[in-house]
Amino acid sequence: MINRRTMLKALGSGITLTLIPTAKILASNNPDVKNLAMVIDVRRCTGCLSCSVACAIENGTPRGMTRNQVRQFSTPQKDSYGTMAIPTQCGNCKNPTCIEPCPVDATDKNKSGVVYINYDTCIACQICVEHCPYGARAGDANAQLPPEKCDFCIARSSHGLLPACVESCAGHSRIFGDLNKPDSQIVQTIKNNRVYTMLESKGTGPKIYYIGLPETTDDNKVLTLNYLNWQR
Amino acid sequence: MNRRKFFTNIGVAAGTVAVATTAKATNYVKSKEDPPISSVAKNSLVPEFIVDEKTGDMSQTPGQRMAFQRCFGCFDNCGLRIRVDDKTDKILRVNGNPYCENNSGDPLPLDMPVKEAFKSLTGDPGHKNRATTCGRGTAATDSVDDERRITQVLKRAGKRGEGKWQTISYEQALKEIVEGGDLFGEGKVAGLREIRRLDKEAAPGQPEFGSAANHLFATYLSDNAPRTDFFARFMINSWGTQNIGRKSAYCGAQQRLGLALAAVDPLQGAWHAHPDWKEAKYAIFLGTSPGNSGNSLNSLGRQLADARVDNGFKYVSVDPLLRTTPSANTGGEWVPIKPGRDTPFLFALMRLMFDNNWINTSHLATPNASAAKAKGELHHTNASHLVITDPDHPQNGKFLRGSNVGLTADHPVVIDPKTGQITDAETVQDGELFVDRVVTDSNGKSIQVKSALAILRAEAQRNSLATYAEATGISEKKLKQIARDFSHHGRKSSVVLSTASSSADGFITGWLTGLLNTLVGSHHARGGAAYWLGFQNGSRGDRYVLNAIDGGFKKSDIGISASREGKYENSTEYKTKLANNQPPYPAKHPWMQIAPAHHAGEMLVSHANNDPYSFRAFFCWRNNVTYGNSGLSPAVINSMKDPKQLGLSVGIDCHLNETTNLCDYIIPDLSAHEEYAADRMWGSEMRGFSAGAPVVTPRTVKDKYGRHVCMERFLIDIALMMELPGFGKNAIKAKDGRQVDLLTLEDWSAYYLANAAMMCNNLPQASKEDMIWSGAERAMVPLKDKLTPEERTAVAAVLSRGGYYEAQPRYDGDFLNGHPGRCLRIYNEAVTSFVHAYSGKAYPGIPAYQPNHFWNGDRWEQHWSKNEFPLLFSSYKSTLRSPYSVAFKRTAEFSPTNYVYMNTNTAKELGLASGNKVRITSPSGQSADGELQTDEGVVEGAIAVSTGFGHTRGFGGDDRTIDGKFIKGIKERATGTSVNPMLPTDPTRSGESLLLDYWTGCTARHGVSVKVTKLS
Ligand code: SF4
Ligand code: SF4
Ligand code: SF4
Repeated sequence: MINRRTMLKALGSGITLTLIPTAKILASNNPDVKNLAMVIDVRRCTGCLSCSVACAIENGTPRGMTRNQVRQFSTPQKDSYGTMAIPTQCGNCKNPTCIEPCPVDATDKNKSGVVYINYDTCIACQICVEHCPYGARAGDANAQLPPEKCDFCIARSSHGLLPACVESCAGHSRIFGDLNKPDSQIVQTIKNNRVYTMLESKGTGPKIYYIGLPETTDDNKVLTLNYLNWQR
Repeated sequence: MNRRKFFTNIGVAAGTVAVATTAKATNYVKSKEDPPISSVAKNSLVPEFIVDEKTGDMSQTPGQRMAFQRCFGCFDNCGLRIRVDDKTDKILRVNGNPYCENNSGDPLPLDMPVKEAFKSLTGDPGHKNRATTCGRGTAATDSVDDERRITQVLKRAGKRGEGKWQTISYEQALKEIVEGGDLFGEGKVAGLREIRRLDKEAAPGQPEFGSAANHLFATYLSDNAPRTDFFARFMINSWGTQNIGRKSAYCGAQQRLGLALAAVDPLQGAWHAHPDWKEAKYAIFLGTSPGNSGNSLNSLGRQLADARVDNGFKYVSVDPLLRTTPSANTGGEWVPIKPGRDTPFLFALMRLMFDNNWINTSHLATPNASAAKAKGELHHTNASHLVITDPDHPQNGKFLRGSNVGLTADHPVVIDPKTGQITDAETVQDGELFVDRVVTDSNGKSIQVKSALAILRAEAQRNSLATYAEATGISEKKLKQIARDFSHHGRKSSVVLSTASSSADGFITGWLTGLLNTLVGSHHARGGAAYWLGFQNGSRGDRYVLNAIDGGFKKSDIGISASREGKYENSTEYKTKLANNQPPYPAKHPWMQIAPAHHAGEMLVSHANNDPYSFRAFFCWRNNVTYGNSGLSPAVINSMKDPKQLGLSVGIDCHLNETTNLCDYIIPDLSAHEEYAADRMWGSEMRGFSAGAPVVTPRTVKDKYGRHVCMERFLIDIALMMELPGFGKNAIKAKDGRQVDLLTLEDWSAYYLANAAMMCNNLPQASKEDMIWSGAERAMVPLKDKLTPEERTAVAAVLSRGGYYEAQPRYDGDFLNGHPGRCLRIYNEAVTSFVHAYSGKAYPGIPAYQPNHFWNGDRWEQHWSKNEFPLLFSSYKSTLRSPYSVAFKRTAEFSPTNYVYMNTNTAKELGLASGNKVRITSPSGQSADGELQTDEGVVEGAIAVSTGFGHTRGFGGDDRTIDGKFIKGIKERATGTSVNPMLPTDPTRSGESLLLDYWTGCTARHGVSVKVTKLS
């Protein structure tokens, strides 16, 4: 009854995700500085979009220039189809590809491991947007506004508050914290689960760690899915 | 450095991004000092609190305040904590209340100080204590200051519905509405004073319809009790109209009424179940998608997430459309079902459970309360009670009682399995479950009897499994697997539904879910079907008498509604027919007897048919019946537009909508964050209510005394002008003997909150610090002088926590705590006293399988040819859309449009493809256009379209002219397809009609036939 061939091939393309060994994530700990990161358990995500809406409001992002997206799609299961809801956003990577091309040095990484944009020096040229393999920087097509990207809600997280998307996460899918703090919930969660990142082979080392992602997830496909098409 | 034109996102559809494929990562080396946060978080909000990382102390950001409220992003009434900017008095962001179960699932105790509660939302502990609002509740941040909100008093400056308005003073509107006159240059309009004729019959010669005061038709919102009860008190108790319509009857009330019949008699309420997530092992979600729609998206979403990950929870989502609930990599499965076929699905499960004896016989055989107690059961059932099934017997369809068989007590009787004898059901531990035999009564006459369970089994087995499989589109194998899983998880299993299965047999669907949960013994069981514990309704409190008016009316005084929500057998029509020796059945129109559901849509149908009468005035407060009720025909809409048929119409709301757009006047109303609130929380297992007070100054225009215009202001002023009872000086009786005034919104709200607060058993002490951190200090200012010291303390305590949430143990033994034991009804004897007004036949005591049919009993297929209308229609509520969330900016951003979802194979067969512009046409000839999207997540042979879109005539999607100035509709708000107006009517009814649930008269919309044609 169900024709599997016409299925959206975001899963099962033959490519498999590479498990990120916990040791690799938690290596090179320097307890004196922070190394902020986020875990997203996709099995817990209910697709409520509270995170996207809260982020847009907290960070005043212009319409359509959202810093996070919940990409949803259907995928074959044993007898029928199931859903995947995969929140995506900037990984505030270990080795970002978006910093170096900035002609005015407006984007960089801070001491807590957050890749930021300095709005006072950004000239809205949008070059960085083209250099993110994740499409995580939302560009302004008219090159008038600075790009928008997740900076782990820098104003909140540097004052001890949780980022907007994390405190709004109805499914408790998101966990935020400091990888350099061994007793933090994020470190404990990473230790106790199989975690993946998107586009591991790019070597950027994004710090959005996924739990519950089927190994057959085609991360390239997921990242280019239209997140507005799932209106259910 | 040159700016260069940037094209990455140009030519890429909204919602997708370009991904760089060439970027190379190299090891990063930090080179610069960090810039100040203000340079980075340029457009971000300043955080509400600052936690000192060293001391751990937390301080509030100067210039911002927090306030508790209750959410109105949908009807679930979750709690809110709101950040407000002091200087601009604007809402910055909305989030959940950590004391409220609906926001957190695991709320903080009420006695925790507010500052500590807020502190516990930060840092690592903040994960566990998260108190969230879902996407739509969060998006409501924009609602108060929405650019298209109505804040002025408007009067139409063109024809009704033309979208031309002028602003007028509140006082002018009040005078014109009460006194009438030639208001629009179209001739004389009768004002309210002229319309309210208590000395005249509404429908001359038919006294059952009450007085001409019923010529005022009012629609209202059914949630937020303080305001709803105020409105109803005005309309019913003071003015005296029974025509006060609301949404429930076109929003799935039939299922909740049906479900209730498994536990109570008709007229004793409606029930709504959800799984007891904490211990549930299995659940069937029928036409509902927890976490996406229905009960609180926060607490249920979170508990679903917990269950998916931690508890080895298995669940099936039986739904025409694959929604987000059955997540891959969890125990969830989507089982596609044809729309409108939920009843045969449930009958299939029931049949399989009877065939295989997969039922909880010990529970079912428990015939009385003391036996239940002895067995450690909460409930007993009437499964073994004997029913007279003898068509010639005068008590056919009623229980066989002691008096029939010469026993002293007149209780129902059972067969005692130990002796095989007929025995008083109250005296044995067990009753024989399956009985079909002849007994001898005390006069020696034979009576055919059956046990209740035997009747139910016979009905379930009347049709073959193949028949049910064919009807549902679900294979026999899958049906067996579901029935087995459902029953083999015992009491930790439940089947739950929501309004999405509103078919013409939705009543039966709901009833069956109740019975299936009885068959496995899961009502109120640990892990089984859970129910809300209710709330402290301030109208029923005893400090102030709010639900009755001296010298006013009671509901029973004022006749029945124009929609005939009463017993046909008491009507003039019935009596006249009998007197003229005519057969009384069928009645001319449907009668909604087993539950007065306040059906606003059917009231309009009566109006359009001028039978029993047309309304002379219409008040629409926060309701949008013409958008929400499916199948209101153009003729019905015209009957509202035509000033000759409806003289006066007044909308009261903070937004224009499709219905108020047809009004003569708009009175601006408070938006949700500006009002007083205290209401039950949908899906909460704690007894209590979320509550709040205005968190910002209302934006509505003021009257000449400087008071903000709102619904309450308007109705009080009408009452004062017309000297209606129950308003004004000394209008309300206080418990201590005082008579207190009802002159303002604050008067009423103070009394209501005092009543509610004084009903709470374990209020916290609100310290000075609590009062400040929670915003209650500010909220109490307009209220405190109206209350006694004791009441003041109680109301302050409630407002300091944003409501009242009673902590008590979740379980009592094997059952959920706080629920009384009942006689669960396999057979509902009471419902058999009602007679269907068309067929003249009594309602059956058990649900009967009868595929979807019209009011005259014809099957839908007899009128709707499958050749012409090959597809079955279903609608659902999408995650971000709810009545008011339509007007929030971020809703339009993240939920820009809906689609006509269709299975890829079905589309192929019809020559259609994803992206086509299509037209959906129903057998009534109405149509709606939309964009087709295909994938495998839709059952074949059907379409699924979300409600909440296509608002071209309201919420700012509409073009309007105010004081001669043209304001173009915001196109992002008008996107998508609005399906309800397209849905079909009932061709077997006379005049204008709605398609109804056969038994309850609630609107049916699910599973109807449509065709889809390509436009481009
Ligand atoms: S951490 Fe903040 S900026 Fe990043 S996605 Fe979440 S809400 Fe948006
Ligand atoms: S808030 Fe959480 S549950 Fe909701 S969509 Fe975002 S990640 Fe998923
Ligand atoms: S579920 Fe409804 S009431 Fe609860 S937060 Fe969401 S919109 Fe508000």
